[in-house]
Amino acid sequence: MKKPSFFSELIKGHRIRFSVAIFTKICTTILGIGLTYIIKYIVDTVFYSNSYKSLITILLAFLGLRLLIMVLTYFSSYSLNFIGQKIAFDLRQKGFKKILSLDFKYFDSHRTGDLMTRMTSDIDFVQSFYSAALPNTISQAIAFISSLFMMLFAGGPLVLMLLLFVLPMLGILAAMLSKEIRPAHKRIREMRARLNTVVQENISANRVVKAFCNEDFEAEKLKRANSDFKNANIKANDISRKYGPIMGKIYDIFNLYIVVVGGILTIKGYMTVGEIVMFNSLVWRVTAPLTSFSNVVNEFSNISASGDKIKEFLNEQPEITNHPEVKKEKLYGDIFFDHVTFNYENEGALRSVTFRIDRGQKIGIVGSTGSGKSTVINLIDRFYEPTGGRILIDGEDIRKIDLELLRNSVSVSQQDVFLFSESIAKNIAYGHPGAKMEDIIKAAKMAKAHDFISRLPEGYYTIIGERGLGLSGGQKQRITLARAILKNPSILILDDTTSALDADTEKYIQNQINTKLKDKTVIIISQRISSVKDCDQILVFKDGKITERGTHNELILNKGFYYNIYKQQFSSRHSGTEV
Amino acid sequence: MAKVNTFREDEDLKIKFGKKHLRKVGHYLKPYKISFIVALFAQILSSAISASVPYLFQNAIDVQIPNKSIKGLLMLGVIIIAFAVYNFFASKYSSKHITLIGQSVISDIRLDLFKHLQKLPFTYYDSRPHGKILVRAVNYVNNIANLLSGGIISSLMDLLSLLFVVVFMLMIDVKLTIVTLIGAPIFVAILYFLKNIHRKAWQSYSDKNSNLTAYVHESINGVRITQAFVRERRNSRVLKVLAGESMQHFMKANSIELLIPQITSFMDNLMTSFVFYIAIAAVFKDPAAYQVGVVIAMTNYITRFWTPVANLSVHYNALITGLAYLERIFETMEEDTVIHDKPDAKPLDYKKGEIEFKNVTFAYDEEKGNVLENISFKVNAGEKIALVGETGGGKSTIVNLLSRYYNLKDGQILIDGQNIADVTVSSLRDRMGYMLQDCFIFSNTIMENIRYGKLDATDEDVIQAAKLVGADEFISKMPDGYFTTVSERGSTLSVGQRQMISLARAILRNPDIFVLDEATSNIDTETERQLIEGIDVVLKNRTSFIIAHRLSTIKDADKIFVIGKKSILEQGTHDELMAQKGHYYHLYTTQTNIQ
Repeated sequence: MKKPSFFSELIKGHRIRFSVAIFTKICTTILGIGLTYIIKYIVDTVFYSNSYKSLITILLAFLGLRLLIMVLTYFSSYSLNFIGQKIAFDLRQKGFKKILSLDFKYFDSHRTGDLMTRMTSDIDFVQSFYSAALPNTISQAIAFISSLFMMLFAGGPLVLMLLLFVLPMLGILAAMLSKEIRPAHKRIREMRARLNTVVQENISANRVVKAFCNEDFEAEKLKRANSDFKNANIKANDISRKYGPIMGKIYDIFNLYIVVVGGILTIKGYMTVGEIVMFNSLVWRVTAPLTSFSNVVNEFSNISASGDKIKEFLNEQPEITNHPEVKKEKLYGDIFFDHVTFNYENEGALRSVTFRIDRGQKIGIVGSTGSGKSTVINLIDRFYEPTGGRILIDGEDIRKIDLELLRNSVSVSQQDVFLFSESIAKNIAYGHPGAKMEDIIKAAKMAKAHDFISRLPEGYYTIIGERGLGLSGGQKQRITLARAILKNPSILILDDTTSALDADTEKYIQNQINTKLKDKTVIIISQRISSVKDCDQILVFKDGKITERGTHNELILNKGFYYNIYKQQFSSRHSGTEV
Repeated sequence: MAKVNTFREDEDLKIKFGKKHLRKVGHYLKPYKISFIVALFAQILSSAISASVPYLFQNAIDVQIPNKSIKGLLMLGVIIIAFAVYNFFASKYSSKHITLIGQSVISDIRLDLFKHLQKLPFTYYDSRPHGKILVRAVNYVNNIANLLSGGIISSLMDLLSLLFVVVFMLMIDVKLTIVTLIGAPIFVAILYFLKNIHRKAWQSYSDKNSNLTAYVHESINGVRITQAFVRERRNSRVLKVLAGESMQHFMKANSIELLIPQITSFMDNLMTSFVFYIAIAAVFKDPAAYQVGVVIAMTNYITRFWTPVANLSVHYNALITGLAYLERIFETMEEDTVIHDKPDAKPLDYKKGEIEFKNVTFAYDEEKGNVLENISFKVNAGEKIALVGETGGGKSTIVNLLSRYYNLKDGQILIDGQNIADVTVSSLRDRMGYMLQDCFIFSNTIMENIRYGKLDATDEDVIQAAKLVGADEFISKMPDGYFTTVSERGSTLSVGQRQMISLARAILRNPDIFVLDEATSNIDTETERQLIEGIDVVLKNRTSFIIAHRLSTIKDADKIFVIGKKSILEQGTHDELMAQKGHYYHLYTTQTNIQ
């Protein structure tokens, strides 16, 4: 019904508190039976004995006991909720760390909505296992067993006979229900994740949806996901309804037994009225856990569907991890690609690429869309592992360099701009959280972002929306660039960073890089000749291979691909428009 | 930019739950009223039956047993069986309907919420973390399923069983009944006292939880940046704080909530003690005052009285929690869509595509000053217009205004002589084909991603469009060709390839007015050239706007506008502008000047 290893592992560290809480809960259950005893005593003894004076004492004891139960119940409920919350809290942290540790590859094939489901509702369900489902089941079981004993003690073999008949039936029904409802709960879970994905993508794509007037289409998409979710829930209810009502009839069976059999036995003089009365109040205790047994089965199956998903997720292992003996000294930025091959799925993104960059050099990479330029970056930062060949930095295979050191030494200004919904200052300081304001401003100035930032009413403290919405493409690129610069890396990579910038701005930024980042290795990936022409070396990529390399002048003389782009971009000089 | 919310701040609640919202809840329940009533009646009868059980029991003890009537006991047995059979079917039936109602209602609410979200302007999405919107549409809505179906029915049921119990109690003994009822007003007073703290506690929990969700959501989307900037540990600490806050607020709300069942069970016992005391005291004076069965039935009924009260307080708790969610849901549904059709709006009567901006002034936010001031220009049908200028100068704003993604502060935009503010939004946007800066790829096949531009397009149309923009080549090389599944931000596609797919999407639409907003900035020059040639075929005789930084792409435009300083600085053809030796000349020469 559940995975004991996972669920018992989660409780580690809370065992004592959990045991105390459960124990207290059990105590309250048993003390609750004591209350029944007091009532029996009142009815059987006080009522008939006319010992009026002892009544007050007994009633005070009754209320005192109730107060004690109250305090204990509150304590145990609070503790159990606290433990549940604590476990959820731990799971959230573990899950979050897991998310941050997983490879790019994982995110290429997993949807945000699906991960969100695991981090929200799945964790909530697992939490409820500790705060409600498990303790309730335990205390109900205790209530059942203890009441049963008292009943046996009072009612003898007849009760036993009835139970021998009822319990196995109940067990069979529960097993059947459990088996049948499991797939239904799994489906609910899947549908919930799909719902999350549909809504999540719709929110992210809100501009596209509007641009294409596809609001109705989107609503239709949601309608399907929505009704699948609804139907999955209804299906699960259909199944539990097949068993629940039958299992709930236990109370009536016992009730019937007490009134008819108990009544007859009393008439015959085998039982007292007081016994029947106590019996009557015990019956509810015995049967309540049994009548709700179908709910327990239901709940456990539901929780375990979520538990499985979280467990599976937490067991996910990143492929890219630190080598046992890693290099930890500062990196200076000599890069060597030694016959590097890489495939994303089954296409050759890079085919045996070899090149060398010396520290402090500025390298340009040009090439057509999808030729493998960006793959080079993903490999240098070790976001993916090469399929073949190796990459050396400062003569060391990057697999033997501390991952954190490596990524700290490389700074990429991504073409796919992602900003966080925080202030501009915090976004720029993302790679260097302790940075002083003057450093942030310095980086922004180098990226020519300072002017437009200072023009905003709240300047650097302006909060920008998720993904920097509300800023223009060029503004976002410049913030990204400032962010990459402030990290102060040994290797700076500009991945098409200037595509949305005008020529003046680009030129300014280039000058800044050439003068202020002299000692850094800089790789500039661009579609524009103007961005790379001053580089020490230019690599031309085509279909995952380097087809041309050299300085600007060498490549022009070469009259190959590079020359052709050059001609297209500066055609004016040839058409004679320019003076 | 409007005021932006982040994962650090709680959102202000803009509405207060009131009668209007209750009516709205009623509105959602209305279609299911028959199911609702039937389930309710099935349960009413059940609960009446359940309430009669102690009565039967009392009858057994006080009448049948003293009379030694076995026949009478058997009769009672038959009644119990009959009741059980009824209850069996009633619970089966009502459970079915309650689930149906609950699931249908949340499904309806979600659909309405979602449809409303489609109408909300860009600013809504730009000004808050997307995770906060997500959590409303999915988690919050799920959370109210029980409240709006089983919760309401059970509460009504509990109220009714209270009534039944009181009637039965009165039938047994009036005096003891009155004693029993004294506890009720005290309890209600306590609940009333707790109400406000309780509700506030749940509200602040839902705020904290929403902050947490927003942070998780953003972190998943930005995971690549986080890894690249080695922020994993620091971000984990942020999460710890947020998760800790959420936990704290939950426990606070919970600590209030847990009090309520304790109070009810104490009241139950207190009243039981009173009844015993009064009854026994009376019996002590006059042994005939009460029969034992009466006292037992009475104490039994006290428990039965307080059980629905306890249930009601549980539902009340759920109601309070649910209200915190419902408020957020309704608040989103009431969010102003800002851009709506005028009451007498007519569809755009598109003729040729003449566009005129008349003294257009625009500001994203009143307080933050104008982005465009008093802009006027005219575009003839079929012209190709290029917008150039500094980043952040307002180029994208101009094209966004054309589709009425924002309302103007002043002035008019006319298409074929009709003010776009006077025509229906959908008829206006239907004419437009946008290729946006931000190209979004749905997690679906490439085929479906392109088809998104025109939902009824055939596969051939899609491939045709892809060929036109030169995307066919790389798509065909992918493992499953057009049927390769791509993801939102996956690395399977480079940014340039994504741009080509969005472009194919826009082309497929075959619009009358075409807007390319830096559509080709990440595409290499050679591909771009082919692409432009392909598009030119499509654009022939259509009005189009092109924003580009690579000036080589726009040289042949019919008119070039240089945008800057909130207005149009220069306009004319390439040659005219070059001759002017102004801004454009400067831009162009810096870009083409290799030295």
